[in-house]
Amino acid sequence: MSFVNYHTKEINCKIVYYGPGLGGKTTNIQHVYQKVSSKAKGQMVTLNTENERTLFFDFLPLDLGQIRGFKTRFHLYTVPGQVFYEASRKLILRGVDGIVFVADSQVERMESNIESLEGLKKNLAEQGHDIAKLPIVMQWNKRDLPNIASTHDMQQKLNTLDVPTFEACALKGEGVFETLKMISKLVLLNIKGGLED
Amino acid sequence: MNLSKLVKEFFVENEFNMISERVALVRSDGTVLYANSLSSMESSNIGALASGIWQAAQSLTALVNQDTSDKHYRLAFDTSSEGIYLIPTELNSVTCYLCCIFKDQINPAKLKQNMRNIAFLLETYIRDESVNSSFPSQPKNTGFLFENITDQEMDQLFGFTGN
Repeated sequence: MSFVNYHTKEINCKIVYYGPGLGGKTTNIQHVYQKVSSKAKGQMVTLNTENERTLFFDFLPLDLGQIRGFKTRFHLYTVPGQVFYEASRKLILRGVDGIVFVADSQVERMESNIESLEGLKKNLAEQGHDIAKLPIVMQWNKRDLPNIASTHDMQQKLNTLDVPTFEACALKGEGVFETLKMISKLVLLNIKGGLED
Repeated sequence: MNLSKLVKEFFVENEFNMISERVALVRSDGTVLYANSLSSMESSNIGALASGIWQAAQSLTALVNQDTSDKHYRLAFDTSSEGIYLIPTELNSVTCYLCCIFKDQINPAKLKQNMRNIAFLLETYIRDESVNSSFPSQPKNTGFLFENITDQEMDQLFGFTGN
């Protein structure tokens, strides 16, 4: 749940990168971390296994600047993609404001994409979220690899909610900020405005 | 009345911010309501990690005890002189965790007792302030904060990327 501090005029939002294992979620926020000036970012927290797979989550706090007088801080999280970390994924989704679903474009990973998306729907529903009302952006990652599904195919099989989509090659940084910019906009537009004194 | 402003006043005026190297009050989603860190970015990391470990511990506990709702759990990771300590607190119907990170403590048990006292005092303080100012637990206005955001405004936010 986004947190607006009217006293200090600060907005805090939580964005979660979700998707199948080895799909590029961590690579996305690593690229953001590399490109953002040190003034605007905190230390990136990674809770990894010994072979650098995400164990619990990655976390990057990001100060983007002001919008209409409100300072914006985005908290970027990734979930562990491997199937057996379902419990961790549920925890990280708590209080989420927006989702980036990072799908792996390789044909052989389509089943994993679908399975992960179904898991996302289930986990959100368990927490009382209506996936149709939550800001979501889909990223078709790894577009530079051979043997990838067509965007039409990905759209048909994964984007049943008809949310914005972006092609990406996160390793090269392509599409990373376009995706983040869109989810940030959707999240900001979705913030309920309170009238605190 | 603003919850994070009230919490900050509570800690600073009572000098509870000096109780250990790091003290933070974190919502269950990781948002930091107060921290005595020098850097707000460090505070964000504390928020994410404190909330994460609490929730992970809660899930582990639920393996053998499904009903943990009415129990007063604490979470400690410490040696005889340093570590972390978390306790939950309910502020204006918002579940938060009071977290301290400490080192070189001669008597960590005393520190933990002080933390529990602070949590109790904080709950009372916020409850009293809520009654006095009758501030709402939910925003009065259920409309959206921004009716629209232009592409230009988003470009400005992401100006550092060159996109």
